[in-house]
Amino acid sequence: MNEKEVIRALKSERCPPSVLERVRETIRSEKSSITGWRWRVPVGISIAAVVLLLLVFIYINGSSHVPEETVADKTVPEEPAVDDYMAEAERLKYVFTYIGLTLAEETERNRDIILRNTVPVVKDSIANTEKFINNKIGGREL
Amino acid sequence: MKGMMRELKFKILCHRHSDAVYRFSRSILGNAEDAEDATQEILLKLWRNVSDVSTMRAQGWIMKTTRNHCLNVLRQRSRVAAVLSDGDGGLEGIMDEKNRGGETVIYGSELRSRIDDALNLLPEKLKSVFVLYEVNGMKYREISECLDIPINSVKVYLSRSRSRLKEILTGEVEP
Repeated sequence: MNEKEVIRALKSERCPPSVLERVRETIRSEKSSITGWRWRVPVGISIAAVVLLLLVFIYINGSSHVPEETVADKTVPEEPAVDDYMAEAERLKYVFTYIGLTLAEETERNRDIILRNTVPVVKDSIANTEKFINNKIGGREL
Repeated sequence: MKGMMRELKFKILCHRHSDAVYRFSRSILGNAEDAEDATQEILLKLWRNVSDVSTMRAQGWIMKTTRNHCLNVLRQRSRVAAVLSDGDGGLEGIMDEKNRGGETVIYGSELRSRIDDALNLLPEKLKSVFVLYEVNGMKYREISECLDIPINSVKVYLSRSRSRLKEILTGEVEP
């Protein structure tokens, strides 16, 4: 046995699937203890209470006055607020992170195809989106 | 959305690094059973901290956590051995028996237990540098960050580990 054989043997070693299964089980049980019935009851009651209060509020406001609709409201289209763009940018950030993570995972299997075809397209899209967002929100931090 | 991202990130990191964690912990702990427990612990730690771990620096974080965890296990093991060795013949013999005998029965790999024996003769730092570089494919800089040692020391340790391992393996072939 020499050094090269040792390295080859160590490299060929894989984490046993039983370990990953045990991790999966533990995570599942941790998650179910958070979303289990003991939590659902108080969370459900809280949501129901909020909805009820909201309905009462709408009922009281609705009966006291009717909102006036002016001609200006109909004719002048409103420019979305900066906050709307920020929300959209935040959503896009998640979408791109999702794409990035998926690519990272897929690269292991289809490295060449992804590096040659997919990465340039995604990079262009990210650059264009960044330009668009920067124009709209004027350099505010996300 | 954040929950989904967390799960996705964990899944990807797990997929990429679980083998490396297992190999590294096995080389430090010296047997498969403890390495499996350690890998499980590290992956659960990763799950609990996945939101704080940067995807780009995940490998360093994971390997550092693995090493710290394994060193704690070794410390506990030596404490237990010290306590029990006061009374009778010592736990080390029993543990060696478990490591060697159990290994061959469960995994049937004589080659692997010989490798374990050879690696167990290396000091921990040399062993860590050797496995992280040669087996897990990390770069000098990454190893230096992971083990908190200068890059030059990484190079020195790597060269020493190679020559020590060569000596050990040659000694095994020609008793």
